[in-house]
Amino acid sequence: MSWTVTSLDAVSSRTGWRPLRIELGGEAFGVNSWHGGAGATLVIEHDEVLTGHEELYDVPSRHARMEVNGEAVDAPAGTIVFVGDPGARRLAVALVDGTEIFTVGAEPGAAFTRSGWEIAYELAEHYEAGSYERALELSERALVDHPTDWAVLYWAACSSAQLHRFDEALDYLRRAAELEPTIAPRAETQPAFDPIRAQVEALLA
Amino acid sequence: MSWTVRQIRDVPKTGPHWRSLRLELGVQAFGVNSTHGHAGDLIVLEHDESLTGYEELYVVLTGHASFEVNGEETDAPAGTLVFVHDAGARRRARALRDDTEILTIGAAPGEPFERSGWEYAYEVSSYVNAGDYGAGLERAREILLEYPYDWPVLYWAACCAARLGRRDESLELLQRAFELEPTVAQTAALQPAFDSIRGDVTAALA
Repeated sequence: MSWTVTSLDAVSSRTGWRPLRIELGGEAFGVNSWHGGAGATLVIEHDEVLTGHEELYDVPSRHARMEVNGEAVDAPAGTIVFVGDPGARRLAVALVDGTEIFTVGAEPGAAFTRSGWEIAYELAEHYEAGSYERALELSERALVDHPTDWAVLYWAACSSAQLHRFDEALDYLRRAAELEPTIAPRAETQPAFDPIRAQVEALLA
Repeated sequence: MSWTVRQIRDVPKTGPHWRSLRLELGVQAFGVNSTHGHAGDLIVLEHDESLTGYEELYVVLTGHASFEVNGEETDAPAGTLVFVHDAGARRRARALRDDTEILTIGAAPGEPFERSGWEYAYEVSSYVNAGDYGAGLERAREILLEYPYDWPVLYWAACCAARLGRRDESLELLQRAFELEPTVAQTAALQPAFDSIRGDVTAALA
């Protein structure tokens, strides 16, 4: 079949992330979607420095609030937000239940390659399902091509901690925190690090 | 400003249905546009992407559409995603309800994004719709230096030439478009620009 039909609702996930590119088999641009209830963070705070991606966000349903470089953007259904600068920090929160944010990304002047971000969400799915060994195995594989992807490093740290490989977990976490400042507040509330809480706090101080 | 916010409905249309989001937003990494129309409107013209090699993803944002890909029909209410990865697949979409909006994203796998001739064709068509045929033909000639096989640009250049009374040039451009894309014959049959040379057009595309 040279074409595929699906619907946003049909592509589900545990974490609110819909892996549309993987589901559809696209190879020319990144495309994913997030959904969640009122108050849910749909797009975690990040930039695209690692990928160089331009990103286009579309709100097809309900109502979100976005923030780009600290500036708030009201985003009811029908809003498109284009972030051309990969260095711009951006996040999005659902204001009402059932809010969806559809995202397309690629790097100008370069052929599309799968981003570490997408891999990180795939890892998170395995992690949330309790498949820590699988998540760690995929992380290690991904880090060969994406050694500076902090999101992959973070999930590798969580998975290692769940597998009681604590030295490994601390090493991954240190590398992630060096690359991305929001790792520290995220790690603070991550139960995977409870058995090594003191070491984690010392590391991220 | 490193970022831009728009409401899709506020982005002006080029022609009756097309909103050139990529140009409006300044996107450089992928093609992105939107088409809007009411019940019965053909809002994605029948075409393939052989010239560009693009994969295309269509997202029905509002309303309700009916797609046809390689002759196979699919119902597409809001929220439907139609992904056509075979650049050679023929596709089109018709609005079944008023205020149907379809977002389209496209790019070629394994290659850096390049602006497609389609987008240029809409640019030329906007000159035609504004009655500025001389400027439209001039722009089309510039584009055709880089995209000599882009049939939508050839088609709109033919329209401009016909409006300017340049019969031979119009017929030559139209014939080149038709050789590349057979549906040009049906489109040309309804195009008022060719009324003054209707007999010649019919003969050329027979």
